[in-house]
Amino acid sequence: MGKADPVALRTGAGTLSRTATDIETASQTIIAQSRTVEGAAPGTFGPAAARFGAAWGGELLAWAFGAATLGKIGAENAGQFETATGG
Amino acid sequence: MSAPPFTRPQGDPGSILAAASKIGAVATGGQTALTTFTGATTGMLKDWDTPVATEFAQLAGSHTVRLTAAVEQVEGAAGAVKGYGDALRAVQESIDALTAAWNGQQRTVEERSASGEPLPGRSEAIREQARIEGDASRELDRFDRTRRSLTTMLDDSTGVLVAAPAGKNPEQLFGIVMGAWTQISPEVKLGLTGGKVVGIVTKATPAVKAVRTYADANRAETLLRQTRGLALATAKVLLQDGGRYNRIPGQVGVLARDIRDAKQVADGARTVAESRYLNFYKAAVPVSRFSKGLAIAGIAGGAYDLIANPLDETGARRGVSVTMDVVGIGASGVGLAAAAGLVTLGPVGVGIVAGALVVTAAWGVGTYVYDHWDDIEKGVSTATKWVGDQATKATKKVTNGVRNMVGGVGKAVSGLFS
Repeated sequence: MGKADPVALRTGAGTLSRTATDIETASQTIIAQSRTVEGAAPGTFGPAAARFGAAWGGELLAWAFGAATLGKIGAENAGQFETATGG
Repeated sequence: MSAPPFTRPQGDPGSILAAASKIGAVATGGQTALTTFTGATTGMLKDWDTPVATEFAQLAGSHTVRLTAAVEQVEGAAGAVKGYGDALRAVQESIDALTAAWNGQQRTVEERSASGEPLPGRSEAIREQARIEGDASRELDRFDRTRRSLTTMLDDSTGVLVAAPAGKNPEQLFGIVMGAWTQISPEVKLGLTGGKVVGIVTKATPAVKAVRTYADANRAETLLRQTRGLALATAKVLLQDGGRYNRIPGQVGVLARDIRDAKQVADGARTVAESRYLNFYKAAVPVSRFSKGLAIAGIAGGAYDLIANPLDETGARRGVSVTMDVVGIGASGVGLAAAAGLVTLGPVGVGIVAGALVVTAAWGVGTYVYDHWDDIEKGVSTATKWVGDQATKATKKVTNGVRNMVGGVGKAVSGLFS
């Protein structure tokens, strides 16, 4: 078994969780605002904005899921080390 | 009364500009989140030394790169949306004014006609209307060019994630993007199977294989450098061709920024070189006979400083796409590939860059350069006219090398995007 600092892992995990939430909100904003542009800009630009929002909004949303999962991994590992060391 | 033969463009500039502001705020918030994420993961890794930690670092690296790229693209999109809103507002105001002026002349024409005699002023009014119509036509043409340019910018940016986005609807694009992530993110989820962390990567998918193919990353990295050098050579040609590319002056500053960013990446790379990922980093450093051929072209193009010392530079991908924008051979500023996210890696924590280097090489360069090979080749051709015989030889050498590498990169990326 290697080494780890459970406190640092838990602290980081909490930060990642909050960051994930922030980015998830950001993804929703991107998608919503791109839709606003779509409605306010008839022709070709509006639809392009909507496509952008869907794609990069999805990217941000997926990123948020990934970051949240990384946080969980940190917390899980902290728990493992605490159990192993009796800490 | 007759109406003028030109039409005010539709749309609501106020709503568009408000949206641009909110999108820009997302970019700003994303930058903050990026800093937070990097700090958090670096802190977690500081005293964490297990196989899981290594996998965690590489996944954190890929997340760092992808968020960096997303922030860059969102920032660019905010600029594009604002640009459209400004242009729409301006053309609407202009057309409104021209419409009023045209109507004023029309009243004169009709008054003179109603009098039954071609009184003085009628001909002048008709000529003035023709002049107004010409002004309106030019204003509308200018707006249309702006609209098409900004539309292309957005689609190029979307194209970083999904090829040929213009033919797809938003829902499809969203699904494709989310689907692409499942090729990497399952590795993270699998690490939590049964509530027990046994290792993040428990099953090698094609994506993970590509990410870990150091040789391909190396080739992708080198391809990037050479493409950038060639594009800069081409840009220099066009900079001497005054007036043909009216966007160039504004982009010169962007090039300077790219050079600065490249140095920033070099700093980050050096951090990695001193880390426990030393071997990993060495594997990704481009050293090949191909680089020498490219260096010649780089010197001819005034880009020698960008590629003369590849051991100190491992990023600088954004320059590729930005330069492509400058020379007008395939992409616009915001449409720059994942490259956009690659040059702002530094300063980063130990372990983060390691994963980033490989992931971005396969992802960023693969999607952009591979898809735009025809345009790049065209750029090479243009550059050749200027650099002369010596550069021609070098360029041919580079072209052949790039072509071979494109095949390698494409193979590496196919698992990520197939």
